[in-house]
Amino acid sequence: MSKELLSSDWRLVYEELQVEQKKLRKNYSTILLLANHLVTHNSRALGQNVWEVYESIVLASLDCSDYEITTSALSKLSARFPKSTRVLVLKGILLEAKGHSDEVLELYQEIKRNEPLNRECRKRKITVHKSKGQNKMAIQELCEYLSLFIGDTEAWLELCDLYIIELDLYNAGFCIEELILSNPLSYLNHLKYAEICYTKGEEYWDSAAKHYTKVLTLKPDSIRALFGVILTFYAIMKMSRQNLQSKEKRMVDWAKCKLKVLYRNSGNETGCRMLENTIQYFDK
Amino acid sequence: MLITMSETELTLDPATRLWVLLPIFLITFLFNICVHYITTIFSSPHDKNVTPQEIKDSQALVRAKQLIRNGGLIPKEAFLSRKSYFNDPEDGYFKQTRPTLNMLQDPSAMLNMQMGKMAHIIPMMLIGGWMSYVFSGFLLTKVPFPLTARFKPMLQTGVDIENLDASWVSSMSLYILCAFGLRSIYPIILGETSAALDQTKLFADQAETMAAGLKQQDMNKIFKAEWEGLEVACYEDGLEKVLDQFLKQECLNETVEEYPRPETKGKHKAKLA
Repeated sequence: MSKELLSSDWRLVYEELQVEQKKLRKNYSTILLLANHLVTHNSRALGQNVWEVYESIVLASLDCSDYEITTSALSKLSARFPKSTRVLVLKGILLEAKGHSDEVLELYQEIKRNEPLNRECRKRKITVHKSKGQNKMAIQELCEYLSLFIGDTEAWLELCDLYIIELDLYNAGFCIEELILSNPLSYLNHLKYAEICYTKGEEYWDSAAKHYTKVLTLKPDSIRALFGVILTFYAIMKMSRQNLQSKEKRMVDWAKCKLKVLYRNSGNETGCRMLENTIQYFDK
Repeated sequence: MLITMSETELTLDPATRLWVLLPIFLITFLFNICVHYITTIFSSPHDKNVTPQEIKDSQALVRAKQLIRNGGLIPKEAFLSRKSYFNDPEDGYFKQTRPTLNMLQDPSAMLNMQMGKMAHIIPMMLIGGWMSYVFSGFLLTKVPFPLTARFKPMLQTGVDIENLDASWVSSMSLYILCAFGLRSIYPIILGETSAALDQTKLFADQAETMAAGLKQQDMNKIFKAEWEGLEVACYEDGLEKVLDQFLKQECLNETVEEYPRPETKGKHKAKLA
């Protein structure tokens, strides 16, 4: 199919490239193929857009780990835009891919000093720290970033995950609260918050229970939430040691039934058997 | 005997085509391209200069609004700590003061705007004056349909002959038509500034344009309004009754929804067999 496309009009190829780039899960080898074709055959027709195509070549070739193409495209870009930070960041990404993480950190630090509002470079710096295993440094950088761009929800989520790795559940909870505030209808945020609350300990089981229930109102067949409900409400019942016919008991029973239905509908027999065992284990 | 000129056939000297019509086209075209490049040289460094503080302020405003709207979904302590971050009487965020930058008081903003306008107006006036000095008084073409006398001032600037048919176009009118009519051609020739939509950049642009929009307003007033809004907002647990509501709803659904009953079990076994 792509051969047919390549022999057709360049506008179609360009359109296809843009469609591919807007996808969340990009197929980088296709991007590389299309972009290379455009640059070699139609660079004149593209006009000013050719530089964006070069940029996509750089990123795609890095993903395909074809560094020769990367360097040639990068040299074209830096010849055209000698002072651009966007190109500098691309060079940094190439260095990252080759594993020169210390040099890259220096480069990013310098860009950050010159252009404090450049997000790309700040985010790249955080990922370098993270890939080197320096979670504390990554957290520090990310906090600095978030003090400027408080509205960046993806950054909050990343910070939350980093805190969870470092077992700092209080701060992780804070991050998720921020996400809940900005997007109250996303069940994933509530689910994560509930899990963090449950892990934090007895005092927080109450809010864990509330948020698990909230998840089930938003998405009634969330398996994680159903298991969470069983665990949390059992824990609460054990702690208080009173009326077992309460709301909590009803809630647990409901969750068990729902889980059984869901597993049975999925048609996985071993899964069903394991679920029975797990529920028996919970009952003890 | 009066013979009106509209009835006589006018013949135009072919030399006017070479020495008036083409120069007018060329000069207006090249002139506008020059203006385009000059303005890009002057305006590019001043584009969207937003300070970190302004971005921070604009994002804080959004965050405070979200807190008022959705604050009930987080625990009480979390709500209160956030509220005090914004509204603490000592060092709350909205208690800070920002220097008031009025458009009239900020000389650089004024200058930028004036420069932008001047770059258009002055050369326009100069070239217009020169054009009327050199090319005024020619008739260049005739529109292929009859027009009433009211169109005369529009199409025959610089040629004041009362009896002339209104469909003749004078050189000055053609110049004015070119100066304004060619505008839509420039983006095609000069190339549109390409703007690729990219998820991350979308957010960046949003934040920056938002901050740039706030720039022209008095931050202190906005802060005060937001402070009042937050001060009035008190914590209401939005999840307090979630369990009761959920159970009530499920009791209603219980009769409808399928539950593990012998029949489904049988069906499933049959399917497996």
